[in-house]
Amino acid sequence: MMAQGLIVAVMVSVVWILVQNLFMHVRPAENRFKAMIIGYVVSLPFVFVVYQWMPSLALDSGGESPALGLFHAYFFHLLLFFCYAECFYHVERSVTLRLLVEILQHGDEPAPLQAIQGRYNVEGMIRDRLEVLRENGFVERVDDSWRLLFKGALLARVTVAAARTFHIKPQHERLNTLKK
Amino acid sequence: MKGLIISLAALLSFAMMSAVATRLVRLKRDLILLVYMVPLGAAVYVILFAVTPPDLYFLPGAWMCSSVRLDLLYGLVVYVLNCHTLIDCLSASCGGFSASLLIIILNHRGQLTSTGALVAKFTLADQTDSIYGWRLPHLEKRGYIRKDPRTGHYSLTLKGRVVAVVAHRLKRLMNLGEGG
Repeated sequence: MMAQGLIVAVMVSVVWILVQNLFMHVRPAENRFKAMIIGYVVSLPFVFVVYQWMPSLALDSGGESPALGLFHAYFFHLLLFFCYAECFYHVERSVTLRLLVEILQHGDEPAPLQAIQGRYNVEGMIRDRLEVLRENGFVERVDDSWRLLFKGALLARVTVAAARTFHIKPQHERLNTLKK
Repeated sequence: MKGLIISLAALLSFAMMSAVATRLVRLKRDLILLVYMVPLGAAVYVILFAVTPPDLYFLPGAWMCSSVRLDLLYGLVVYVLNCHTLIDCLSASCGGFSASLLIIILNHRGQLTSTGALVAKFTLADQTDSIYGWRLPHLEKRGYIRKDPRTGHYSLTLKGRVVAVVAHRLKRLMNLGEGG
């Protein structure tokens, strides 16, 4: 039953992730995280349906409760969703990957730093991120200045606590250290 | 079920060991220590799995997996996925630019923070910035890019090209913009 649940979780996860990415080509979502949550929630009933259909594969249950298999199917399905969301943001937000892609797009000729910086620079990146934070309700804009909203203040405090616990420097404090 | 429960205990021990280790050992890159701690937590998981009874003193027979090897492997996969989630959350929050922006605004204690002031936090007096300042030398050192000593222009190595092409194709597959 447990093996069956895990197989169901992988099958349903692969299908919904593929369908969602195909759908994003037809109708791109403004808020991709929200679209991912919707995709995940829509896929939940299919876990149950596919699990019910699976006994035809006659896997050895060894006296395990059918509820155990279903529990593992839903739990593993959730873990795979987290993993997908993390991989998505690695691809979408990674500064290092963007930098490598910028050099790739420059073609066979080596790229001068000014040319890369012309297309991707710290000011543009910060402005883009502030805009995303504003759209998602973390900050509000007043003229050309910014103020935290409740969600932003909460996330900032949690981040500070996590950084203290694991002794991690926030990005803006790293430049001096890492340059050495 | 035993594997899952023990994997959660191993995750907790991983988090606690990491919090202690980050105070004892200082590496140039904060999060790399957490990656090194993952196998240590996995060892804790395997030992706990080996020394505890199949029912963990409380599990009913129907909630015990019939295959011990599958249970052991499943717990290990869940442990690794959870470690990935934890490290990724720390990387995105403590090490991310967006969370860093929120912390800077939080540190201004309710006062408005201008876009220029935020950009300045990611730029040094010599115009070195958080995108290029340490990242280019680091990528060069790790063999992803090479700098032409004569012109100072950058090109991808084979390793860097593979990563850039995969990232570029994934962005296209997911219908994402340039990102970063």
